[in-house]
Amino acid sequence: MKRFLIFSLTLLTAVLLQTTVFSKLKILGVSPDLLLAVVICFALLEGPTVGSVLGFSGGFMRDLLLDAPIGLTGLAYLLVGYMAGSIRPYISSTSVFVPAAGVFAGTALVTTLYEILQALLGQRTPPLSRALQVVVLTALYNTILVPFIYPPVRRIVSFYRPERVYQW
Amino acid sequence: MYRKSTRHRLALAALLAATATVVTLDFRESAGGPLHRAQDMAISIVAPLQDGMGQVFGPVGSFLSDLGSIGGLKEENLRLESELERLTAQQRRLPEIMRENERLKELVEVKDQDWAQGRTLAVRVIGDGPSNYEWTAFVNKGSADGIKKDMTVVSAQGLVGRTFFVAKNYSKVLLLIDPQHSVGSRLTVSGETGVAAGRGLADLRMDLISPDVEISDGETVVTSGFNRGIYPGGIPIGRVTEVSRNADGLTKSARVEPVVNFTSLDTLLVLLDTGPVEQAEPAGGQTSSRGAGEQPAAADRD
Repeated sequence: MKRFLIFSLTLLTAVLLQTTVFSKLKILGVSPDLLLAVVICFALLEGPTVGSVLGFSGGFMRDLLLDAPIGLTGLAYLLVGYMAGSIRPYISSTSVFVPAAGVFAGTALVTTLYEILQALLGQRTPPLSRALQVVVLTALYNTILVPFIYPPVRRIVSFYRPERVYQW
Repeated sequence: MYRKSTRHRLALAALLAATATVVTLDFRESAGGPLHRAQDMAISIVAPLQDGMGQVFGPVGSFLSDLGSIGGLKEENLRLESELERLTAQQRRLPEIMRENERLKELVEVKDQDWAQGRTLAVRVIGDGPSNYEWTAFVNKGSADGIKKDMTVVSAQGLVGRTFFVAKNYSKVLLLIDPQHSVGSRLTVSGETGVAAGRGLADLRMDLISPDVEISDGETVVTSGFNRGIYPGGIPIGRVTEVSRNADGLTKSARVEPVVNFTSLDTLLVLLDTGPVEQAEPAGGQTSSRGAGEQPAAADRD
C-alpha cells in the first residue's frame, strides 16, 4: 500500500511539473506528457498490474483537471500501462534505450488513441496535420526526458519493492 | 506464470469496467454530482501545489522558455546576454517586484476603461491545463472570493477568456484561443459584427462577416457584447491581419491576432459583475442582427 502511495505521489509530481515548468517549455506549442512517461516507466519496471493501475489512476487524475469527458485519458493510459507492463518479461537489457523506445511508442499510441476518442465523442479535434504534429512532438519530447525520468523511477521502484523479489 | 497472467487480466478487466462507469457517470451526471465534486477536490489539491511549484521553478521556467523561443544564433547571443543581465538583477528580486508593480499599475489603469467597470478581482495565473488540445489556465482565486462560472477575465491589454470551473479557492479559465471558445465580436471601424473563434496556436478566426464590409488591416476587433451576455461589449480582442472571402461568397472571414500574449499570462482581472444573465429575456439570446439592444460599446479606435 505504501508503495502505491509513493507511486501516486510520483505521478502527482509529474502532473505538477507538467502544468507549471513544462507549460513554459513548449516546443511548437506542445508540452511533454510527463505523467504518461512516468506511467510507462513504472509499467516497464513493475509489470502489467502496476502499469494498468497507475495508468488508470494517473489518467483519471489528469481527466479531473481537463475540460473533456472524464475517463478518456484514464482509458488510454490504462491500456498503454498494461501493454508496457506486459512486455516486461521479454526485456533483458538494462540500457536506457529500452524505456526510451517504450516511452516513444507508448506516447505516440496514447496520443493517437486520445485524439481518436476525442474525435469520436465530438470533442476538440485539431486538424489532421496538427494532430499528427502533436503526436510526434509529444512522443519525441517524452523520449528526450526519459534519461531524467527513468533512473529516479527505477530507484523508487527498487527502494519500495516488496520483500519477495522474483527477478525473472 | 499462468495464474499470474490471469490476475493481470482480471485487474485490466476491472479497471476497464471502472473506466466505463466513470465515462457514463460523467456523461449523465448533473453539476454537483460525485465526479463534479472529485474535480473540485482535484483542483483544490493540485492548484496550491502548482502555486508552490510555480514560485520555486517560475524563474527557471521563464528563463528556459525564453531560450526555447530563439530563432537564430545571433539572436540567441543577444538574448543570452540580456538573460544574463536579467538573471544577475533577478538575484536581488528587484525587477521582479518592479514588474509586478508595473502589471498591477497597468491593471489599475484598466479600471479607467469603459469595459472594466464594476467590481473586479485581481487573480494570478498559477499553471496551465495538462493537455495539448486545451488552452486553459489555473488562477489563484475561486468561489470564496466571489468568482462564478462564466465570468469575464481580462488583462491590461484586453480579453483573456472566461472562468469555466470554479472551486472554492481556485478556478480554471478557458482562454480566448481555445478551439471551444468563440466570442461575438465587432470590427471597430465599420461596426460590423462576427464571431471570433479560437484556433489554439494560430490566430483567431473571425467569421460571419457580411461580404461587402470594407476591412482594413490592423483594424481593432472588440467584443460585441451579445454572446448570450457572457462578455460585456467593447473589450479589445485583437487586430485584423488578413481578410479572406469565403468560397460560398456569402461571408467574409478575417484572421485576428489576439492583443493578449497568451504565453506570458500573469496577473489578470476577473470582472465580477459579468456572467450569464439568468433568463433575463427568454428570446433575447437569438438576436443575431448587429448592435441590437447594446449599451453604447466603447469602441476604442487607435
